[in-house]
Amino acid sequence: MISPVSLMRYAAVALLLVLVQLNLGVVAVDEVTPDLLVIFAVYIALREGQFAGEIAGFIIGLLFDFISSDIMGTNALSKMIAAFVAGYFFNEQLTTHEAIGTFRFLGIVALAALVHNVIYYFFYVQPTDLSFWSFFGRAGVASALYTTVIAVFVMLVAARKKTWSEI
Amino acid sequence: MYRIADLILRYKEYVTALVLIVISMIMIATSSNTQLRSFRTISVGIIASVQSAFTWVPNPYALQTENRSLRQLVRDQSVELMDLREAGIKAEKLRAMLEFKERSPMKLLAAEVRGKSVIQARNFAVLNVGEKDGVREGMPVITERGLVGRIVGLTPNNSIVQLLLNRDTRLSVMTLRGRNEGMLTWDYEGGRHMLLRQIEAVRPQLKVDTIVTSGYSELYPANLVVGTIRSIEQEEGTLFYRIVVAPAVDFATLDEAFVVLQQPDPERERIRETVDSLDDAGEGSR
Repeated sequence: MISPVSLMRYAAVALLLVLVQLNLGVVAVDEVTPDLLVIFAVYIALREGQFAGEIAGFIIGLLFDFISSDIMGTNALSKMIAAFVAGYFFNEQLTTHEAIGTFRFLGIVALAALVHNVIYYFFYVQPTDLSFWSFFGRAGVASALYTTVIAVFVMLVAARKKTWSEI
Repeated sequence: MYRIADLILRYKEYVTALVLIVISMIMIATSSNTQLRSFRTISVGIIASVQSAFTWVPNPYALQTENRSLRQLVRDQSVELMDLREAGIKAEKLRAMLEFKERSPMKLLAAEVRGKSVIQARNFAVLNVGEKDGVREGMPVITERGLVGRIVGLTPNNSIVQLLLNRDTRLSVMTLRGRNEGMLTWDYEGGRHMLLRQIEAVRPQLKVDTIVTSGYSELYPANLVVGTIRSIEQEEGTLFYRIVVAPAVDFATLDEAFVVLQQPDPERERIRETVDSLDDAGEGSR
């Protein structure tokens, strides 16, 4: 069970990340941006479990849909499923350092981001005559890679926390 | 119930995921965003294919609803069919009347029957044409089937027809093939039949023949069909036939008619009235 304090903290971070995500144009590479919200949803899934992760993914996605005026439900669905997939790797026995501060976290983020992008871009290319797979091959995979790169910082911070705690 | 709750709790991740997926899908599908038309098409397609895969499963509610709809449809179509049949009959009748009017040498005025009585001792019909339309008293009224009666009353827009089914009817007629002349009256006691009398029993007469107006009366033009012979016998105690005649016109279904715009000769009319009154006086004194 998540404590109210943790819940408040997650809510605050989610709100902050949604706002940051909306202003990520400055770090866009060829219009591809990392998805910080996927990283956060995966983080919650790995720390709190699959159930909490999927609900968090859904709420964060819905919030983003609402604020970004995107098609209502697309981000909620894709982020919820990304967190659901990540939730399979939840292990109560692992500490934060082991769950987040290792390369395992990067693999999970990459997988979740790919799943997320498959779902999200499925809806994204609907109104166009673009081929889903060619578009996903470029934008989807690139975005997943970029997201994974950003996740490296999260992993490093989590690893460093462990180091500090050891000191 | 507990087992279901236990099952849900055990698989809460999957149940929650399923619920959230459904919610997302509903949000996406109901989104006003026009970009998702094709997605909606796909969704509808998927739902339709799933539904079609399960069409073999009987759904009592759907069957009940379908039954109700079909019953309503049958009712509606029965009414429609009846209307169509009625319209067909009417169209056929009007077509026949139109053809009759076109080939008739007489000047005819089409009229609708506004009201009528057929079960009284003196039966009348009201037509929707009157003095303003050129109708005058005494004018014969006919249909394509035969004689209906004659005008006996007038208003500017309506006229009253004395039907053949009237105790006052006395019609000079003859049998078409036998050429035997006689007097036709309405057999009030016998219902809707008419009686042809004053044909001598010694004269040959076919049992099947048509009765037409003789033309001796100025009231009606000659050779208007009045009816057909139904039965023929010698009247007891007399030397005459008693011929039962079925009117050519079905008065019960009379809806339209023609007024023959031909006035009787006033002088002959006066003579006829005089003869009638003399007859009545003679019968009274006997």
